[in-house]
Amino acid sequence: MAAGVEDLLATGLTTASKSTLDKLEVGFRAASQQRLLRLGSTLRIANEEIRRYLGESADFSRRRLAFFLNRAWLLCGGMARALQAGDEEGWRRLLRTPVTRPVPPLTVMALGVAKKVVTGVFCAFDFRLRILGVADSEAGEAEDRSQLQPGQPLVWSAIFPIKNPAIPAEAYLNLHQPQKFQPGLLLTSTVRIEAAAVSFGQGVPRLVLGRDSTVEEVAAEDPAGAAPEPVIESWDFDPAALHERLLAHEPGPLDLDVELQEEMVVRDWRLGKREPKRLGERHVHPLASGGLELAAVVAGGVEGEALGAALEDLRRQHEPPPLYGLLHYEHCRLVFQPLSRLDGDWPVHLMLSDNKVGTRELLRSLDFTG
Amino acid sequence: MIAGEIADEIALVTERLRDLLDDLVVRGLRTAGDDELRRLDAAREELDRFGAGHLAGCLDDLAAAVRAGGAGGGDLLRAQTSLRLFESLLTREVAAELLTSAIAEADLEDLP
Repeated sequence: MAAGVEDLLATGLTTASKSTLDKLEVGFRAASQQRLLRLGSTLRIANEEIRRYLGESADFSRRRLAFFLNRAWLLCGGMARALQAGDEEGWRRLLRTPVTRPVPPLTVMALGVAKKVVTGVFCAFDFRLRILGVADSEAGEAEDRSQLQPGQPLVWSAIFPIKNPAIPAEAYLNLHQPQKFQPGLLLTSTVRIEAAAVSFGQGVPRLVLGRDSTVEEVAAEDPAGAAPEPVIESWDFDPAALHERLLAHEPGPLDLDVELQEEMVVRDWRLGKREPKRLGERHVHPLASGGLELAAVVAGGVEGEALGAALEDLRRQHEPPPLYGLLHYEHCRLVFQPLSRLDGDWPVHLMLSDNKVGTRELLRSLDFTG
Repeated sequence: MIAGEIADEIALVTERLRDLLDDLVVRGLRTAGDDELRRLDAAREELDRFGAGHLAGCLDDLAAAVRAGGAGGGDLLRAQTSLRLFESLLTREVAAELLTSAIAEADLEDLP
């Protein structure tokens, strides 16, 4: 597989032989079957990018292709060396398979939602959750309890294939999940989740819902739906803590740009006009807060429309509200992805548009027959 | 202190180099000619000046592979990897300095 990637780079995509492309496709299937998920997903993305190039798609990205081909080559080479040397620790480190375990019932709320849209292909929503309560229960391992305390973060992702590009991505949040709830519930309510699991690995633990999981709204008057204010206050910007974690992090060749990602709340901020130069595909606004200049990013195209408009409105306000979002480090900048504003009873999710498409209209637009 | 103009200068060099390497991934190394060699040599000189010896060495190997008309896919991938790591380490350095300044400013504000 590594040799296949090297051959591809020697000849380039325009003269890539069918057999080279087939090798990558076979490699992806084999990796998936062997549960080598990290390698499998890397090869899948590289394959998708190659097909976009060959199909002359406007969504083709040289940068993404180069990154994932390089990643595939590194993983294959590293795994081969680990196997030859009998290096189990090295093998495990390369696979980086997260450990998924059942957890007690959790009460959570969504502080922010990150939206990703690949036109005509899929849309994805990462719900940035905060644990408000953990039930006393036999479920769950003692070693997980330190990461499952009130105030700790979780992520839950919902991904939808796009069948009709005319329908706004937010409409898919009206579709019922197998657990009989609409993901849109998380935008407006505290919920109690039972019979779920959490994947513990790098970064924020991930919530995993199974067939028997339940997700139910917690009534406003229920004390379990605690007010978000104490949770929000605990996430004030702390440059000393960020500095410590940054220096403790050792960059590696397989890292994504968002490998070290921090949740933060910015207060007393000022947003400048859009910079002429993009950061990859994203527009950049300088955002000054807490003695720092952050690069607040807005995706191009339909993905960034709602956030771009919201930031333009907020930029004109004399005292803009606190913003919750995600910070990472890229191209010598502190990059901030705003996700929500925190100035009312509930977070207002900036990446989501107000376009209202009801469930019935959405289902009519989806072609289940073709 | 690396943040500021020096970081901007290095970032510009690495961005141009990344564009060049991405281009070679798509077009293939066998299409590389005098223009690409000139750009590789220019990047190598700048990176040597900045003390990025490992990355500069990878670019030397890549240029040699291009000149030899050989496959060179492995050299291109090694150069990409080295560039990526260099950018990550540089970003960590710059970000740490920026956070240190913010900490110092916060400490000054806390003074009575």
